[in-house]
Amino acid sequence: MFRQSTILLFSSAIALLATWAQAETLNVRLVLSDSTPPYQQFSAALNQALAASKADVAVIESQAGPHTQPGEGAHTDLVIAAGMKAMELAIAKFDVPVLGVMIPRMGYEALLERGSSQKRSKATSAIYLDQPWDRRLSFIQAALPKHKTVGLLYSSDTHILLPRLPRGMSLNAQSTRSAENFFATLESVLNNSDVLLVIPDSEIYSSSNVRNILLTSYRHQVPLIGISQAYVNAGALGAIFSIPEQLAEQTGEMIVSFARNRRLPEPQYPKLFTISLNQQVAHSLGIVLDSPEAIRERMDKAGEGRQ
Amino acid sequence: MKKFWHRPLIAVLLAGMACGSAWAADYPSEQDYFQELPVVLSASRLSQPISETPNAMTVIDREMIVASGARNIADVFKLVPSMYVGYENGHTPIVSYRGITDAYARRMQVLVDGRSIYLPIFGQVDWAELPLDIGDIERIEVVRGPSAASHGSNSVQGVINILTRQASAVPKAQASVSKGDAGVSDVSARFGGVGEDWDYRVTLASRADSGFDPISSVFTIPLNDNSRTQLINTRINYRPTGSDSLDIQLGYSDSSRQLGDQNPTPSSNGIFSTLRDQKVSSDFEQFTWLHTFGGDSDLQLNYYHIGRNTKDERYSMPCVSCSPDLNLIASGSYPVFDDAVIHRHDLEMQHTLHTSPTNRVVWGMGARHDSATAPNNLRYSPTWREYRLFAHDEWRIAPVSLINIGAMAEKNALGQTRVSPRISYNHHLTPRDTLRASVSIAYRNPEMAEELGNQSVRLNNVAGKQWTWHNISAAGGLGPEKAISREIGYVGQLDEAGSTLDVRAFHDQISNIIWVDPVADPNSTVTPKSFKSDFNAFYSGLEGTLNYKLGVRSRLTVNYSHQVAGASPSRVSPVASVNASLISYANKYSQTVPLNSASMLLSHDFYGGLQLGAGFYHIDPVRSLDAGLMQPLTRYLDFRVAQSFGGWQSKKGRSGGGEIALVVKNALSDHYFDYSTQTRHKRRTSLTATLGL
Repeated sequence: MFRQSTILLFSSAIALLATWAQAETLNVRLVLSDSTPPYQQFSAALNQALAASKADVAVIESQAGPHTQPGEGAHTDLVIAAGMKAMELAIAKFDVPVLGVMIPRMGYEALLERGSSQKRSKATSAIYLDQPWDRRLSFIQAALPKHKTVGLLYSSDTHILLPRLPRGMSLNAQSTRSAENFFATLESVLNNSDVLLVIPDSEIYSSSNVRNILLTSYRHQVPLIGISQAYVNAGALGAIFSIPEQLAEQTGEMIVSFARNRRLPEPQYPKLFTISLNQQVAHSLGIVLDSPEAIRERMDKAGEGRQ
Repeated sequence: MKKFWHRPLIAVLLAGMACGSAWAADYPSEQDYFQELPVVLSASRLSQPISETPNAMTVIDREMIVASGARNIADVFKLVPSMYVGYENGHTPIVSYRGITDAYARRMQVLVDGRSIYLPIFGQVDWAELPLDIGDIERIEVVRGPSAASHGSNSVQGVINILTRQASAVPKAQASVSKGDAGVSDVSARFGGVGEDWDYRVTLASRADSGFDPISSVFTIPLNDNSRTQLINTRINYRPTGSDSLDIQLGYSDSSRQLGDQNPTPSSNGIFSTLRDQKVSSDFEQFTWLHTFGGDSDLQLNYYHIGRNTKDERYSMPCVSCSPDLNLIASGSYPVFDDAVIHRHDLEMQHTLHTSPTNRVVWGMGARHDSATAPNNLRYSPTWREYRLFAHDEWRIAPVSLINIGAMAEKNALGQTRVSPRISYNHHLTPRDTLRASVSIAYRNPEMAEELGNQSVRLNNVAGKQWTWHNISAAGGLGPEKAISREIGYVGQLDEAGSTLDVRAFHDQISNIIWVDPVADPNSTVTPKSFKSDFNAFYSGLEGTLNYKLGVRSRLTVNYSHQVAGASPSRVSPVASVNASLISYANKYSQTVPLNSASMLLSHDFYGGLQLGAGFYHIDPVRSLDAGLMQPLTRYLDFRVAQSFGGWQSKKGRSGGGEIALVVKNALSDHYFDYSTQTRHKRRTSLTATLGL
């Protein structure tokens, strides 16, 4: 008897909720830059996250292309643009709020700057793909407490905004002006650094250069900290990054919140991140690394300390 | 040009935007995060840290090579504890680990990028005419102790592993000119390029000098050891896919070296070393293919060929003041041709795999084919084939302890099969302090000259007797020398800057040492030499290296070695005089190692591109069994001062801009001699100008 009434109550609540929600169904248009695995993983994980949240969100997925039109299908409340290509298209073609995901902060800001004259009124926000500087440096500090000087290599036309450095850390940043002096600069950075930190700079970290950078830094016995799992597989000592599934979870939360208040929060860095380490490389360099969990714990502690 | 930002500083590095991906050149894109990368530091490329190697190891990097002011590769080895470096003449350096028994350092394997340059017929390395410029060396790893399990036969006392610069690591273009005392005149030019899936570098070099000054007060014979070497060397790396890499290395060198005496000596039993130019040309071709299966397994195939052609033609001259008998026997002029052609082909397969996160295995097999044609030095033109099978396991039994266990089974050209095992245990007392204990067995195969040597010149027929000058007459039937080595060592990191201390105590026993066995030939003007297993010997001692970093700009390396050796004859000859000479040699054996030897290298980078390097060397008295006199206590100081200008400067290399360097060898002008008592090391100054693009 008791069980029956509970079930009854529960089902009527769900029915009620469903009716209410149906009236408020949020129509989300998910635009992917292309159909390669990272975007597909993001899409799948986002659908899963939304399903788990039980929010009434209808997602229509499309790929960014010249034929993508806002009018296709039903009315759209919110556009989730995955990748720069999708983001550029979404800003240009949709008149509804746009949330960019899987895009670097620099790309997002550059896009807004260029588009600022046209559609200022439209609400946009983003979940960046990059890790905040504090987190990257805190990771290095937690994983490699004895590696005090962080080397940075950037092409002369890259724009980087450097952070406040944690106590005891120093930065050795040098720019390469041309391909010719690339190796001289790399050697110079490696000679005076304890660890080399990769930044997203395709001019320097092209796939052919990454090979030489890894070989050269290994010869100098300087560990490299990458920006993706691919770097760790290739021979970086470690990397800190957010995978599409983690970004999708955060996106899901933002969509649910948008469904409630119809507002997009400020652009933000990923909340969830992955720490990946290459123990073989560590052994070879004579470095003793803790487990990713222990490093994360130390990062958390350091973060609390700072606050 | 270095910029340092210290906390708490916020810096903005200049404007503009990097292009991100193929689709839009305007913005940074996410592609940097999603790009696929090939596995670069795959299983076989990851070397063991020094605290985990099964043997003691000395690493000499480019920075040290430059700071030492070394012009010859051989001189660099003065920075290895227990390594002997001396000169037979201006163009024949002798590099030998654990003292020196003779001019051919036979108990050491020498590799350049895995290519064995320890060559037949006599088993030596011709350091002067290697088709390799010292400026192309990235680093040198010297395994101190037997390493046959990893490096094959002849790795009895140590292994020198020279690693040259990657094709991609060379500046776009660089030229260098040196001039100095003793006719030093060197020129080198190198250039390279980096592409999407290939890199290359090319070096052209020429070296010339007029050798040593003779000792005018003692010997009246002028020493003729002028030499000139020209070489070309190239390395190409091609990467057809992300998991395949093909490394191609080619080199050729051509050298001309003066040998012999201008005036015949009266006591040469009819054969004189006349003044002549020895011509040597060498070439090599090496192809290394590396395939990576994910990050955990690599397959490498390595093939190389080395060719070497020596032309050394001399003639005897009539004896000036010989005994009347000898005047009759050797009255004419007889040709002595030491011409030789050598070819070595070597093919090796090596598979490296991580079987678990705590275990790495390297195994493989190889075959070598050596052929030599040297009609006046060998009984016939032999073709020697050797086969080898090896496996090495590196097992981390606990986070603080590691076992290296391995063995090589080898069938040598004489059909003898030997197994060289090695086991070592490394224990990290703390992350900074490691103890190592190891035991190994290694073999040295007999050289062609020891097994098949024959050197004979027909002289006159006097009263029905055909006289010969029969210098070498090897009886054959030799077996490999065997070494058992035990060591305990300590490797420690001293501070945060990375200063290290490496100390080890060792005891090596070598049995069946092959040495000279005089044989009778009633028709010869000299007693021919054969070879036999003559001695058992031991070496014990203590050696260590301190690498001290005095701040970022200074570095100090100190090497010290204390060693003792002894030998006893391993056989009894029916000939009393042979026994006497065996005992005499055995007694002298302890002198083949210097009791104490040390080297010290200090380098400092001043602000403004000024660099200083100073090397100080000390060797206690030492005697080679085949040389006459004891080499007395030797001490000398070398230094190098360099000023770089323009372009980008770094401690290890220059790109763009240039550099002027002054090198003074034997700066305190101690007129010392080493292996050869005919030569004097005097103060030598040279100036090098380098300009790069």
